[in-house]
Amino acid sequence: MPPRVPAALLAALLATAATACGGAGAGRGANGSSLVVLAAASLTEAFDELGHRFEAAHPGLRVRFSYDASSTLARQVVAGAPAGVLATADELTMQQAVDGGGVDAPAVFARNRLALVVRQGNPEGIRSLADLARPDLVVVLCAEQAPCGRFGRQALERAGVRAQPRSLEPNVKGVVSKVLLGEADAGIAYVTDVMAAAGAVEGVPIPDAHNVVATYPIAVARAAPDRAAADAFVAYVRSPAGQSVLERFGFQPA
Amino acid sequence: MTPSPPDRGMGVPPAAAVVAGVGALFFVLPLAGLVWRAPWSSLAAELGAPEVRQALWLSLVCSAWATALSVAFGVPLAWVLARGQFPGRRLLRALTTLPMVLPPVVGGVALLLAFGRRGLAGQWLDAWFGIRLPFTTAGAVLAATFVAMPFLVLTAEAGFRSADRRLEEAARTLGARPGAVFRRVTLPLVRPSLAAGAVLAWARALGEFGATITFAGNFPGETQTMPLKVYLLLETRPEAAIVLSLVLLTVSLAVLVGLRSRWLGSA
Amino acid sequence: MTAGRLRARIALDRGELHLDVALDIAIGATVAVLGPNGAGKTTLLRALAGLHRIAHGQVVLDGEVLEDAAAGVHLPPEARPVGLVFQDHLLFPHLSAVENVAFGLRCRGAGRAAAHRQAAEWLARVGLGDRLNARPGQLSGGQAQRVALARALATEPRLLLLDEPLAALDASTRVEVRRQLRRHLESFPGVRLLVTHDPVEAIALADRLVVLEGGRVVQAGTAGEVTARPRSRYVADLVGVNLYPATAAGDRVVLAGGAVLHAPGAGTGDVFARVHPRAVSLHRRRPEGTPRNVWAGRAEGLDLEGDRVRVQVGGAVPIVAEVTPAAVADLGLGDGGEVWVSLKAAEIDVYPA
Repeated sequence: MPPRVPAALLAALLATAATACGGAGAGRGANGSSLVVLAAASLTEAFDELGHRFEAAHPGLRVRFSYDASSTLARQVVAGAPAGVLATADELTMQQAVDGGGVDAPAVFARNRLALVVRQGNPEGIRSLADLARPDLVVVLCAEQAPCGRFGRQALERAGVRAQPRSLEPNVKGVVSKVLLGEADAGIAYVTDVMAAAGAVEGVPIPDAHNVVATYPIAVARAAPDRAAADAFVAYVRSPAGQSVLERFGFQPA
Repeated sequence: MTPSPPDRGMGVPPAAAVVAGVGALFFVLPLAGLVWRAPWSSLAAELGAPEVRQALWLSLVCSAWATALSVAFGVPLAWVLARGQFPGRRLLRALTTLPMVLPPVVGGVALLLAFGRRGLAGQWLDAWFGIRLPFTTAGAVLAATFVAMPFLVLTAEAGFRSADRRLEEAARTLGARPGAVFRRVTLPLVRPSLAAGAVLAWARALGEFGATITFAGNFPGETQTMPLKVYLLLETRPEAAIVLSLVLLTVSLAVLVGLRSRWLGSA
Repeated sequence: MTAGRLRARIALDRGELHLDVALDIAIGATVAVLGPNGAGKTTLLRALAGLHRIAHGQVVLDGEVLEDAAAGVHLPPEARPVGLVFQDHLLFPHLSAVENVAFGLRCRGAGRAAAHRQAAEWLARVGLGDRLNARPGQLSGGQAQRVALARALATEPRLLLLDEPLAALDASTRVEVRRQLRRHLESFPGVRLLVTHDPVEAIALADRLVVLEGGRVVQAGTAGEVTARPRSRYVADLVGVNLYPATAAGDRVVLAGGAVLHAPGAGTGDVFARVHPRAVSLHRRRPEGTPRNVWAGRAEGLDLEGDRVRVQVGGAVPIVAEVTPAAVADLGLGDGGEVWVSLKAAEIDVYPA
């Protein structure tokens, strides 16, 4: 029986993968009425919502998002992509952007934790990280270059588990989609990703002792075409209103 | 008697030469950029890394298999499209060219839905034969074949169309049965088209990224072909990515130049 | 034993062409099917070779049924002991001369060495023993045609078909190749049939002529018979005589348009009336004298033929007259205009249609 694929999630998968191949869809932004935000893949759903609300509060201003692995986005900003804002899933990649002269003064705006993502109904009966070592399971992880990949490895180390992944996806949404489509049995993603795909996948919590807290910084890009709009967006994300939106999607406060 | 000057023919109109020059720059500049930024000093070290050799080997193996499969299935398909008379022929031809216009990732998604573990055909492959294609080298070959075969089918079909049917008739009057006609007359006649199609298919298969990463995944030694490796290296060690790009470029150039004169006739 | 005989009735439709031909050919005589383009000559040959299916009729060679439309028997070309020499030779461009000639032998199971040996012998027989390894592209037109002939002969067919064998050659090579071809044809031990639109080629190569027009046989016989007594406009034009289908009534014949010519001893019934252009006299004014057939016409065209001029005269009875250039000048025929024709009754050859 083919899995039920929420249309929105499939569209997100395609969009994410398409941008993964083609680089950031850099906005025009020349006339200042458009703002481009590069955000880690795990922020997809939350930032889409934040974007709608921000546009409603600032009529005439369009916000466009490009979601990908933080490492990819940091590279693009350093290379001079005309983006306004960069939000990553860990401080290491943000530091790369700072070092490369792409952004100024990042600030942490949210936190996230890892969770196991398994197929709807958990047919394989996965209970913990230790199950990822089972040879009969098809496990996918993030590639090391992405924050979720680094964190996932850390969690596995802490739990003393040796997993045999069948694929190393370039970003976390890739992990989720493989599980969602039924190709993989389990993967390591963020709590927020499991929430976003609720109904199509299930989550298995990872105990705090093994879990890794991901810290999400946000910063205005130096090459931002419309500095005021970028500052306003960052301020909105860090404001109580923005924080409550993030909380609704499963993020923890900064 | 003084020898007459060589006949230059019409010569190239200046306007055309300028436009052609810009077009040529389009190809030359990106490659020149690669060469210019290559870390020549650390070249040997990068090339020696085992995962680099692994990725290169995997790319060559996958593209070779993809080309072989494209030829094995594509030539009969091209023959049927060129000579067959059946309803739906036009639709079939459109379908075989579809992968060329489809974004590769969309192709990868389609392959998943067809051959994935829960896919249309994939679920039966798994249930009856225990064959699983995603996350395997076979899956990477399938993805590469999917995007590369149309090139072969298209050129081969054109070749079959333009082959002189009268030569085939002559062969029949000499006593050749249809199979022998195909082997001894038709195939040799279309060999240049087939060769050109195979080279195109191979080049396309070598560079395939989107369908591979979507359908087969990414794992070193299993499914991580060169393009995938370059993509991932770009984030951590750009110099290594440049080196790998150069390797791909050199290998492709060598094959294209070497094959062209031998199989495609004099240029 | 019915060896060495082709009995065929071939009836088929192809586009605008309705072909219906009956043939009975034995070994020993080369038959040429002569006709204008579009008459169906090539279609006939291809049907005999099995490249077209027949709608009605049958093809029997040496007692073996190659095709029978009614019984649904159709031997494919590769199963027929038929050799076909094509108009454009159609040599395989990717094979050398000897490989081309050996092709048929190898298809029938001969080993490479044996096939090449036989092929080399055949090429020597057509005078190309020194061009064994040449590619078709390196051969001249005449050489290519000889290789094509050797290729067809090498499989030792029992029926040899040639499609306009000399048409693709230029005038100078044509004469030489024609001579050699005649030799080869005469030594061929099977039934042989060629088609052509060139009467010179037909007469030079064949013993019997079959004239094909619009898919039907209009005349057959030896070259002499056919040219002496043409039965169609086409042959009449080839031979260069005036021909009128008519109805005979004793000492006169009534032409299709109603005009009457005096021709004693014409007999009765449907006839052809043949008049050689030399027998026609032209005058500026109505002539007097013995000729019983006199009428007025209009000089419509002049053709120089060697040291003679052929004058096309239009009118109630269109006719072509052959006169000297001096006569043309005397009569002032150059500017057209009315001219009187006189024709002796004795010069009209009448024969049954």
